[in-house]
Amino acid sequence: MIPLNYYLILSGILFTIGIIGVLYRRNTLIIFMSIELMLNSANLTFVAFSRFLGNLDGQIFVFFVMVVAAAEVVVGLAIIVNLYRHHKSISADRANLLKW
Amino acid sequence: MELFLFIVFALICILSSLGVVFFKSPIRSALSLIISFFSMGAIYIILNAEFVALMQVLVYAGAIMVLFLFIIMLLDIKHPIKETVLYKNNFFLIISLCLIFIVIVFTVANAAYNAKFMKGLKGISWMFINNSNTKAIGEVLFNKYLLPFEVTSLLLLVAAIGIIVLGKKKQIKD
Repeated sequence: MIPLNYYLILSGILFTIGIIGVLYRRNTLIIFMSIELMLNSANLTFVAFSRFLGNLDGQIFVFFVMVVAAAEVVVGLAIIVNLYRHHKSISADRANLLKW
Repeated sequence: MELFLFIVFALICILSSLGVVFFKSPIRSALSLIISFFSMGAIYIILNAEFVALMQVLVYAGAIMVLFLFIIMLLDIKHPIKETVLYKNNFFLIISLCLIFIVIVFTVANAAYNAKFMKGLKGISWMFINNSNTKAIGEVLFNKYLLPFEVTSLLLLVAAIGIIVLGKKKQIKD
């Protein structure tokens, strides 16, 4: 049986990679994929804790997180397409309309 | 054997996730994210969560990533995007990566260590009804979590209306 800490460390590594992707890349598509990666690492933590607690609620939560992620991806990609229509580029630096 | 499989899939998962961040072109990032999702599905199988593993492959690797690939194909970006100065400086990248990782792992692993359930592990019989994980999850979902499940449909409706509003052409006012 694999200890719980192994899953938590894997999840921490994936979350860190996701944070690095959001902080360092300027391509909005890749920023978005990194957000997906972070959601996935949270899902892994949910399933691992559910397994070790002996309780199915964690897996139900993963189901809800997946629904939210699907809705979020659809809306986010529509925003990226609109960004491309306005600026002819999907760089996050070009989206500075609300900065002042 | 179980540990060996876990380590193999964890390594595939970590390497392909690094590929997501460090590949230049978005199409390569998307493809390596698909590999990452598949290996995470395998890790869910190791955790005996069959339903979640299937949903992972069907919803994430199937639906969401196909949507990503479609958008990448349709946008057809010609000029590479200028990255930040920090992205080229590997030293800061590695330092910050290590710091964030240490903080996350210490908080989460410490919380897990302090919790009681680390020691006595139950069997896996609670996860299955008639040898089916899906049936057990349906039992919980449609009894205890019925209202959140229904509210989820409202969320999807809002998302559908939202993309119609975002995606339509600007109307010319006369």
